[in-house]
Amino acid sequence: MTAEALPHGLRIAPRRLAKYSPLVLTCIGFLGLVLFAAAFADVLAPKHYTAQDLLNRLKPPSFLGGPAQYLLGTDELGRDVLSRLLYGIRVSVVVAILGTVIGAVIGTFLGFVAAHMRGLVEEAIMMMVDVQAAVPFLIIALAVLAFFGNSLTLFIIIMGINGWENYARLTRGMVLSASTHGYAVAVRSLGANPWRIYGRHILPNIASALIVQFTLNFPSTILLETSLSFLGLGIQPPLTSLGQMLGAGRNHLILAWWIAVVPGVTIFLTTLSISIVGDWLRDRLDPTLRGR
Amino acid sequence: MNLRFVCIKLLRAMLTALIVLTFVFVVLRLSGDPIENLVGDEAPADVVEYYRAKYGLDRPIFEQYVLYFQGIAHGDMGISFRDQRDALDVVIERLPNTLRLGLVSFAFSLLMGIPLGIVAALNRNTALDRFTMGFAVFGYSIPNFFLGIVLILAFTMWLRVLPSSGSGSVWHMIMPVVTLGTAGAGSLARFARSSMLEVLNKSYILAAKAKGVPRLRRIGWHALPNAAIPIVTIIGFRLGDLIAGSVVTETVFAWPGVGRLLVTSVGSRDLAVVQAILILVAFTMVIANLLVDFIYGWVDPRIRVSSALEKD
Amino acid sequence: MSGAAAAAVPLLEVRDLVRHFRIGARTPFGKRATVRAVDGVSFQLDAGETLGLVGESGCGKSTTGRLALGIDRPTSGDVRFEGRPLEGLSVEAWRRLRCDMQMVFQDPYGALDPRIPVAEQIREPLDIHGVGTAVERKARVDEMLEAVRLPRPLRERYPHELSGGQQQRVVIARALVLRPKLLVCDEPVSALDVSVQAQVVNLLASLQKRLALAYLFISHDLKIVRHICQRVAVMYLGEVVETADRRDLFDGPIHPYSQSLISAIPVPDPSARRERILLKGDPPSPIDVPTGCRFHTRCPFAEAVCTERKPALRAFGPRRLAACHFAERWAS
Repeated sequence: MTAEALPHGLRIAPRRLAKYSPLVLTCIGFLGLVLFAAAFADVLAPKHYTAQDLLNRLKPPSFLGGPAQYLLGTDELGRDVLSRLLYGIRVSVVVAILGTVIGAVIGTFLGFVAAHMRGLVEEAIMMMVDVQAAVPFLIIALAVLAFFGNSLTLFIIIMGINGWENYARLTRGMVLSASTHGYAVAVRSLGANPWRIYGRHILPNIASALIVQFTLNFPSTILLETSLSFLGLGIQPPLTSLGQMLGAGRNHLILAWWIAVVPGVTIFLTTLSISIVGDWLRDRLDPTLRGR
Repeated sequence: MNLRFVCIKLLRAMLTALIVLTFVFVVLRLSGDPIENLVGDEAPADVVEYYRAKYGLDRPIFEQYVLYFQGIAHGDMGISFRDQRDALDVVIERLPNTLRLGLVSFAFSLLMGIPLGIVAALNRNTALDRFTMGFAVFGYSIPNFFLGIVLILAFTMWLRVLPSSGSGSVWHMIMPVVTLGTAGAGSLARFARSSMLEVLNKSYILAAKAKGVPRLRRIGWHALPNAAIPIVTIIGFRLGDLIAGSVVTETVFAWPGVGRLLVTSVGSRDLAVVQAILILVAFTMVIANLLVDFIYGWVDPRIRVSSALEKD
Repeated sequence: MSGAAAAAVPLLEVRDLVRHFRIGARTPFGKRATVRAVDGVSFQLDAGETLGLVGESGCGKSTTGRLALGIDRPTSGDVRFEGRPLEGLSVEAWRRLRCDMQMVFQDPYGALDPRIPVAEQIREPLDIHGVGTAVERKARVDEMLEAVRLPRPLRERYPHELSGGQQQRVVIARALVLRPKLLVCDEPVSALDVSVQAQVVNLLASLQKRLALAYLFISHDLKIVRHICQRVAVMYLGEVVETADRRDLFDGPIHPYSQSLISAIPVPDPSARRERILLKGDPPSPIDVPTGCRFHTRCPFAEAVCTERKPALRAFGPRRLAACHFAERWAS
């Protein structure tokens, strides 16, 4: 029995033993590692991320001939690159997760509101979506940081606002199309109230598209944070983040390229893994959804 | 493309621009003394007075709003307190550099990405396909600042063939262009491939094959134009990424453009310049999106002719 | 609930029902076009009776079905259920009324939630209206599954794991689990394979007798309607053009449109001579309705008066109505 397409283009893949490609498994494994590092940074890090060792500045990683206790070398203040990496992962991951979750919740909620209320409310929300989509968010973020200064709370709020418009647009579109035909009408004619229809029927069915959107949005949030930190306008010292390490390491490329390359490779592999897993997820959940 | 379509799009564009300007206005007011923000705390007293009168800070807020708009319309966006010059002038000065970099990078993305994607589509599921798509994913996943640094490491530090900063010659442009254009190339390649695949699967291509139309003509005359339509819209979206990308790229390579100016201005809280850049970017994006809408509406007849059946 | 007193008030009564849609976007220049989907439809349905609503696509029968249930609101006109009007009902009251009137849809898969097992979906109306305890609900669901002849193992399946016919049975079970008095069937078998259609139609017929249900059976397929409906109303372009008992309609249709529909029904005897009445031209659009009798543009018997004056529905026997200026020719 093959699945037929739902009105709004979602369908469930047929149930069969899922074939996981080795690439996807590797990426999932890597992401697991990153999460593990983020969670247990203080246990795993050999040194504290601000601990300086001025006698051992700019030493290369131990596998390239550097001192044995600094697996990934030291930076310009003698701080252990590995430890800073782990803490940096934690900060970047936490900020990115918080930001993405905030964006997803706000965006999805507004999408539902727009689809349910229609009329002026919908127009207003869609207008805000248009505005957000019109200007590259990095520019807006920079402007807001310029005007209001840089506090951690503000920064996280900015991360949260990154990408909400995609959720809103997606949710609104799907709720609208689900509401006008199919099971939404059927369940309404059974006498269900809107909460039940949205919560029990529509939301689970659009969840897979939202999850895919999440995997599209997460790398963009990470990149936003790391870009801003790289420019010196994001996470400020003494806190460390991957982007910040890269930005600081830029000044020492000749003498100690590992200070920049280590966090850079980490960021790259993380966003790459999320992209690959996201693609795979999208293919599994619905081969007819196309990505940009 | 009928008049109604044009008018609606125009209206939305203007409304978007209005909202962005209002946003800037509100932020200016909220973040401290707007005059100080605009001219800095070291400006001479008569300049401060001039602006105070100009923006009518003692007048009701609505009048301030109107005056603000008038100012913008005349290109007056405050004084850059670092240079003590008109902020807009400072920005416009740097614009040609950014445009140069941006256009060349854009061309790079197009010329690399689209052919790659089409070739991949035509050789679906072969090693060539997988390789090019792997390349594409690599391209748009790598953070541009990291790519820039890696390129500098490779070509400036180790191979010593390319300069890492400045904008003097063509050599200076190579790495920035590759940095800025790679993400776009990767993304376009993926999209071109999926668009081409979708078209290749359509019945009219199969019909052409059955009629005996030679492969080249099938691809070039039947498939390609139809695949081009969604690609055109995607190109419009690239502009935003290009602008955001140039901020970082210009900083990495010390390229004297608007992007780098924005970063330094944010760092030194030269708010007049930040404001000017923000407004400029917003206007550019709004106009670009409008153009993309128009082109799309003109190129794809289905959009023109659609009329929705609405219930009252 | 039978008895002489209840029989006096029809279960469902529809009077001068009108539903217009305005299409196209709102423009400040000029008015929008109006689709006259339903333009003055009246009929009534008694408890336990089956009424068929037939006509070609776009004649307004599906819209009428939705109006009858109160899912859609009429532009004007009256719908009464057991004598009480649907107009002005509070949201709560409307919801409670769902226990008495339900619908079976054309697309069974579309009417089911793809992520919930079918037994739970059949149970859902009981959950929504808080009927019985958990144990009682399970028993009811099992009862319904048996009634629609769905084997036990299919209980926990998902809709996409069932065939079209089975899916429709689930929809029917769900619609009947609250024991409604009225079931509106909107093209319930059109989306199914021909071989399965017969099974589902037979199921509907037997359920109707067992549970003493009233059906409003909407279909464009006259063969099926003949099988299951006691009375039939023929619709054309938003209006009812003829109403009759099954026998009377199929043996001797009065209205020229009914005649052409019935003459088109295939007869399983290759040697039988059939006079097919062919209609001229295409069906007009419900936006641009012909003057006078709406059917005159395609009617083989049309004359001048048909363009000028609209024929009223006139009686030609105890339960026989037809709207044609020349109906006397065929009424016998």
